[in-house]
Amino acid sequence: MDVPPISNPVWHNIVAGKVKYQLDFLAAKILLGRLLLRVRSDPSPGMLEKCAHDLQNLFAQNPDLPCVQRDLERIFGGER
Amino acid sequence: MSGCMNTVSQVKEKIAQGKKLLLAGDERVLEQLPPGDWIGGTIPYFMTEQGGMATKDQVYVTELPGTISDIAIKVYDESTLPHVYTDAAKNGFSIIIIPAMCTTHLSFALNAPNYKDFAIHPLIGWISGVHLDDLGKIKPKVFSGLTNTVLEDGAVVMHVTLPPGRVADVGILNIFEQSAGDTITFPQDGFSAREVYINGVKTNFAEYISAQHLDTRLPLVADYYGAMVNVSFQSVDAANRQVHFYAPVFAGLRYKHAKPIENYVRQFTSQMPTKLGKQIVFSCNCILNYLYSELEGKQTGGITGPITFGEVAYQLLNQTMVYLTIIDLAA
Repeated sequence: MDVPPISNPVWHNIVAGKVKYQLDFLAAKILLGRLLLRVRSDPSPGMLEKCAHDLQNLFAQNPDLPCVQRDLERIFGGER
Repeated sequence: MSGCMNTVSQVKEKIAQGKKLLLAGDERVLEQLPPGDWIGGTIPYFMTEQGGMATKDQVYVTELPGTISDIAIKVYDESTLPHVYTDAAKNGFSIIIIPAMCTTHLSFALNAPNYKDFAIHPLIGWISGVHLDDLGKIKPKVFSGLTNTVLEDGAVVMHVTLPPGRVADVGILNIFEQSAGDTITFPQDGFSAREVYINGVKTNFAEYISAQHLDTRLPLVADYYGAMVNVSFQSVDAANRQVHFYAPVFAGLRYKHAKPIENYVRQFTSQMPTKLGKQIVFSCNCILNYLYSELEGKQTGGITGPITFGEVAYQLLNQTMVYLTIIDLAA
């Protein structure tokens, strides 16, 4: 599965804590632990955009990892 | 697993053959080794096929598979380490070793999550140490085989490039879980704390630990989106009403004291992911797990590697086994 672009609102919803998924990709879990904290302390649109970009970029840089593919299916599989 | 204990002469032979090696051993054995494609750190404790052991005479050798495309060995200091993620191979992984308690260690522990491109590429590694009898007498060190450099403060990193069709992943095995007890938050980042918030109420942490009879062999555990990340207690200074940790606590994160563990080895082996055996290229486990769970002479499910003064899986961890796998996408 391809990594959806940053324009997909799900990336923003994840870092805003509006939706939650059980993930396998350790790097995403550790990064999200930080990003959620950042957005909680600064919920400005700029911070939300930056954190959503960081999360999307992490997936975009690691598309071939089996755990990334499983997580993409979990998050975006229902959109197809 | 691709690692095992070797004598110095066996390691010299592997270096002469041009093998790409990750080494762990006592300073006196590592300093006997010739230049080559290796990095190393000091530690005399190991998990081996025969069980946990302490020795100053042998070296734990992880030989990287012949399928890797390239390596680059780099030495960093506190000011250059923020580039560690951007220096990594686009498809590959990086292994880092940092001496315990040096400035670079403390800086990495506090700041790694703010490094540019944090976690974009797999970063795994460990904090080097010394025999516990030598604490305060001998400083932990890291070695770059490339230039025969020995460092007491800094970091040595092997950036490894993988060929197309192979990818690397970092995993952790942490048997500790959050208890159902109080939620602990900290007003600032740091390796020590005095006043903290217990369920939102400002409280002196040293007094709280004493009053609650908390077992400080069990870490604090934070939930990073489902990944349990530990911070281990170093000491409780009742006189100064201060608590010290082996890794920093971070403001805003919600910590809980860990649930008690009845039998580390049983819990560890039961949680070990199956089918990983041959995919694991490198792993290490924490000196506190080794000590508190009395792992000397005990086996941990065939998982071997150095016993460390801290573990790195993207950032500094405590009381956690970390491991690196290389996955053949065609398999």
